Amino acid sequence: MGEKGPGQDIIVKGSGLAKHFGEVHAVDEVDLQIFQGEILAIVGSNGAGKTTLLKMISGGHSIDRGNLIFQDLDVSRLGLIQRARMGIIYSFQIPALFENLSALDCVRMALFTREHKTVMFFPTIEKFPLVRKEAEEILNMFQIPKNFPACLLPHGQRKLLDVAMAFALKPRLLLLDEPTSGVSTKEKGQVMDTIMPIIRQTNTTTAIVEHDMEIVTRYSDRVIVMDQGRVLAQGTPQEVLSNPKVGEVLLWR
Amino acid sequence: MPRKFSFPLIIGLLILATGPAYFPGFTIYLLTYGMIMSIAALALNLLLGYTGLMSFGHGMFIGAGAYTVALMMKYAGVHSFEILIPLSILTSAGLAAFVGCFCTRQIEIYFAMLTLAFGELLFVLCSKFYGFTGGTDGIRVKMPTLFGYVFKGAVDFYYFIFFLFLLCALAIWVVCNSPFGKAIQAVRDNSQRVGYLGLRVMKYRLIAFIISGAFTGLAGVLVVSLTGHAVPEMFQVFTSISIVFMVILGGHLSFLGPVIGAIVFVFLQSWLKPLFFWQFFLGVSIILLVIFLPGGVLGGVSIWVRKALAKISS
Amino acid sequence: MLELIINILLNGIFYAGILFLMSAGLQIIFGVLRIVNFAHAGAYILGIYFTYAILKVLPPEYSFLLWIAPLLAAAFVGLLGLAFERGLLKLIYHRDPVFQILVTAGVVYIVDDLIRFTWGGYSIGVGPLTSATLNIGGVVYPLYNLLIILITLAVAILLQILFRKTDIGRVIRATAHDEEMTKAMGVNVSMVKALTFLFGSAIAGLAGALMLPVTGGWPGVGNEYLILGFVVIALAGLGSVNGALIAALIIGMVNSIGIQFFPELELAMVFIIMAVILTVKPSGLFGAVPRR
Repeated sequence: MGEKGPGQDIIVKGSGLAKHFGEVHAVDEVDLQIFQGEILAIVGSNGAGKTTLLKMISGGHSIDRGNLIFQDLDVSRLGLIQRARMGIIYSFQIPALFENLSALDCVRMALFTREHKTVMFFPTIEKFPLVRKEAEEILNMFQIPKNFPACLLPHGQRKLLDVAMAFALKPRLLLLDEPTSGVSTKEKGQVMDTIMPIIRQTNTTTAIVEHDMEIVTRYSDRVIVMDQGRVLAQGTPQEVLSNPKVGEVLLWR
Repeated sequence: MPRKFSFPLIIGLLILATGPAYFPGFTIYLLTYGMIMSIAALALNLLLGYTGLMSFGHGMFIGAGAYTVALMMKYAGVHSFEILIPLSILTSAGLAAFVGCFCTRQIEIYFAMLTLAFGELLFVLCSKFYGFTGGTDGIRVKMPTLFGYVFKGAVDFYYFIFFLFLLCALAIWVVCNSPFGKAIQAVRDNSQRVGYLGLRVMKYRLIAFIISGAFTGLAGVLVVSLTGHAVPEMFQVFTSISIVFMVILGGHLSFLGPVIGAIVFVFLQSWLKPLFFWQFFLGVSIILLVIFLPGGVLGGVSIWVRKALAKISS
Repeated sequence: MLELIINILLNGIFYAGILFLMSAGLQIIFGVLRIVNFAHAGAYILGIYFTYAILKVLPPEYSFLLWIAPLLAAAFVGLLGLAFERGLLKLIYHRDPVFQILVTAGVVYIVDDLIRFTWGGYSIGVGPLTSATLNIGGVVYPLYNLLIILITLAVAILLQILFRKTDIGRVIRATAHDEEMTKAMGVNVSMVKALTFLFGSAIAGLAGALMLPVTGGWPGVGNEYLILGFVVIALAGLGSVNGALIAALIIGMVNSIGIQFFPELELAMVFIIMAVILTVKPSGLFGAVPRR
């Protein structure tokens, strides 16, 4: 590999990816590439297979057919724990937080994991000032108060915390599953305005499943449009939006 | 040591430290017993409150610790704490590793049933091999010596236990607040997410189970030294449920809850046992506690507050 | 040699039958209520003692009605179970499993002491319904035990019919599968839960009632069967009644073989088999991972 796309390395290459649930072909013969450092949006109407595809990359869903290459390694058969260790980090649509832990602790947990320090029985976590400092910085970036237990945070901040935890792991590939779902239209912009600059600054390769085309146009480098499990179109947001077939699919259903 | 020395805690420790000066002998005995069971209760709460695993078989570690002492005394002539304690911790940890390998790979409900079942298995084995273990009669145990020192009365043993209690409480506190402690809390709160961070959930549950078992085994050594009699009933579900009850009674949501629960339970049991149908009262207490005071003595208020806050903000 | 095999088979099936009765109740209660019911030990022991009481009270002229005693006792146990479910269990449905287990375990202590209070702490026993024996291939086997096997088989078949053919059975299965959906379809889920608990407890009570002449009764007699019931349902996979039948047979046979050849280790053998199977298939033979 090491093929160069438009001036970049390809870090993910999926060929002929397919997954079915019984009769339903959720994902059907999908080829995709993700370039280093880019933000790739995966869009489509409900049931188009976007989340399924994302989960096939994260390891949450097994790959029935096809293969997935990540940084020159075939990860198709690897489980989600191994993929996470390789740097493929998934952020949940319904926030999966450590409910009784404070936001600070949630991020610290991610940091301890990254630093391979999770099986240390002593000293207490307060003896790790660097971890604390980094966690506080991350929380500041994402504008999340640090001392509230996760279960008490309002929905928008829960979504942000989920992303913050994924981000804290310094992912090689960040997978965001509808980071603005359930967030009011007014707040959607705020949430994305918080997340996206951080991603850009750190050059984090990101694949994001999203419904809102405005957001997609504003923030993503390339877009893949899915419909009924297949790729309908791909390209830059401008290219994709000017494609009449895409207009049909996204406006009608 | 950035420990929050709150006022009641200091008072409690002072009372415990100076107890023998003004408490009658039987109270000293009960406090000794209470502190020993506090170690077991803290150990169980590491598993229950912090890792989210319900073990209904922790009696097996009390039994393991107790019988290590009894058998070593009977067959190997070992009489000293300095050997018996580390040895029992090892046997209990080993037992926990063995049992844990089967139980921690299961979901929480199976875990409860299987730990219960293993405890009963050990009870049956212990009773059946009576040639070796003394069967249902158990084995009588003399108070071990400590580096040559022979315990003369209740008071010096009391302070020995007090010292061990403080040591164990501190050790368990450090573990609970260590990165590992956060990890097991993360496992408790969202084991799925832990997997997505790249960690194996079972590994953390197993390690927590082993640590918990080891400390409970230590409690077993101390119990048998105090009561002088190792019996198969220690392995049984009643012992295990008592420990769970202690934790819930004191409050499984706070670190010190189990300590309070253990001491209260020991006193409660001593008042109820002479009553003819004390099991009945125990059962009723358990049910009343669960229905009306699920957070236990320490947790009761904070749980209502948190739920109210959550309702407001959701 | 043949006699040995027949002996092992008969004992194994007999034991499996009782285990099935215990675990079937546990399975359907878990399936619908999502509770691991420790109080089942209480149902078992009450089955024993109620039967005892009925038998003692029955005047000799009506001794042809002896065979009703177990059924009557089972019915009483079921009713008590209903009362327990409506009165107490309902309060803790949405609580943490720890609390549910503690409450159901607490009930066992209460029941044990109530029995001690009513009938004393000594063991009780009665003679079996019939002392006749049957000669099967050279083995002299008690007819009563065979009757128990037949009754267990009948219960298993009845359960199958109930769940597959009747409306109530379908409703129970639907509730077990998806409570919210079933409730949305207008079913009184609360009543389904109550009935399920009644039914499950009654089956356990029946087990006890039948076993009275075989093992006698004493406070605490239910515990061993409860533990074994747990082993069976863990092996079968939570919620699966058919799985419980198979698992009960496996455990019954292992136990029977164990008693013959390694009498000291019979319970250990059961555990070893269970551990092996659960290592290979952690959710049990027929288990899907339940919602919790």
